[in-house]
Amino acid sequence: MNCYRFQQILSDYIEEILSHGERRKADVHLNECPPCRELLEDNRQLISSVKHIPLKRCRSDFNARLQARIAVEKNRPAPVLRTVWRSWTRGISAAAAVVLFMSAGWISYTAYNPRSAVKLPVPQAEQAPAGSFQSPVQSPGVQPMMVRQNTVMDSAESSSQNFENRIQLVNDRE
Amino acid sequence: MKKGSVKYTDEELIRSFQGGEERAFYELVQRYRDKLYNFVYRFVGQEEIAEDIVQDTFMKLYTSADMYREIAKFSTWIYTIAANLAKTELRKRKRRKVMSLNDMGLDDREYEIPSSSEDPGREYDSRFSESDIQNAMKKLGEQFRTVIILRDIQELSYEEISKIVDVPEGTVKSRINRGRQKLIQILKGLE
Repeated sequence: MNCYRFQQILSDYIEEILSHGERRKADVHLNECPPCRELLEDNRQLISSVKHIPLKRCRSDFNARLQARIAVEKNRPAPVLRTVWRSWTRGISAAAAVVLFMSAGWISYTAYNPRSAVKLPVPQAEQAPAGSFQSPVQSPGVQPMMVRQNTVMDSAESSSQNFENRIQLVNDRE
Repeated sequence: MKKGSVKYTDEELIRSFQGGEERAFYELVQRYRDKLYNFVYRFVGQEEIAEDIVQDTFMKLYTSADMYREIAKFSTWIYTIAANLAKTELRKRKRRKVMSLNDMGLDDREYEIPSSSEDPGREYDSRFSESDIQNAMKKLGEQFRTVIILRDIQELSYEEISKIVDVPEGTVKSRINRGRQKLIQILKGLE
């Protein structure tokens, strides 16, 4: 046994609840370790001193003061009223929480859902000429989410327009 | 509540009080007020505050007796209430920047076995005095102080202490061990 292990089992050693084998090991260690012997003696002295501390008693008017407080407690609103009040406040809190949650949900829905966002009109002058590719994202100050959504929708529209224009062009040549 | 000199258990008394018998409450007060006062006083270190906390503990018992279920011993339950109130009081005082004992940094120190060469053959013939112990207790960390008071002053079992402070028995033992070493260090420093 080493000093660290002895410190771990010190309380059990003092209270004599160690196994026979463990106690023998501790005794052997104590025999050859003066610091641990001192530690053991200090602990015994401390425990004995603490146990001999005289018991402190409450003041003689303790019960009277307690009774006075209980009398005040008894004069408070009846528990039924308090229960009703508590259930009301709980109900109101729950309703407020639901409203708050729904509002938060609505805000995040309108802010991030592409379908619900307002489609920006693309200025005519800036529309790409037929047959050439150009990003429909032109107007500064457009929010990124909206831009992405418009990009997808407008490019789909413009590509179908381009296709029709090309067919027309081929027909005209013929 | 039955009359006569029959000694009722705490659990019988609290059950009786839950059934509306107020005398059972005052019997419990009689049984526990000094025990709790000792515990709380050693914990907070001020008589008046300690008594207020014990009063609050009994008020909790009075108003929330229905919360007690017979899965735990009554003593464990009432000590837990008192310990929680005492801890709350200490935290309040800390927030008010009243001198805090934990701030002294002793909690973090590792114990070192005293070297025999420092003072060989030194013996402690005299006991540590009550005031020295009380002052040393104040400098001990909250978690060590609680278990040492419950074990060495209140003489509760490890099992009960474990339930009161809500940690496993092994942890209680280890805290008691380390707490005692720290206390000895402090006491030696005071001498």
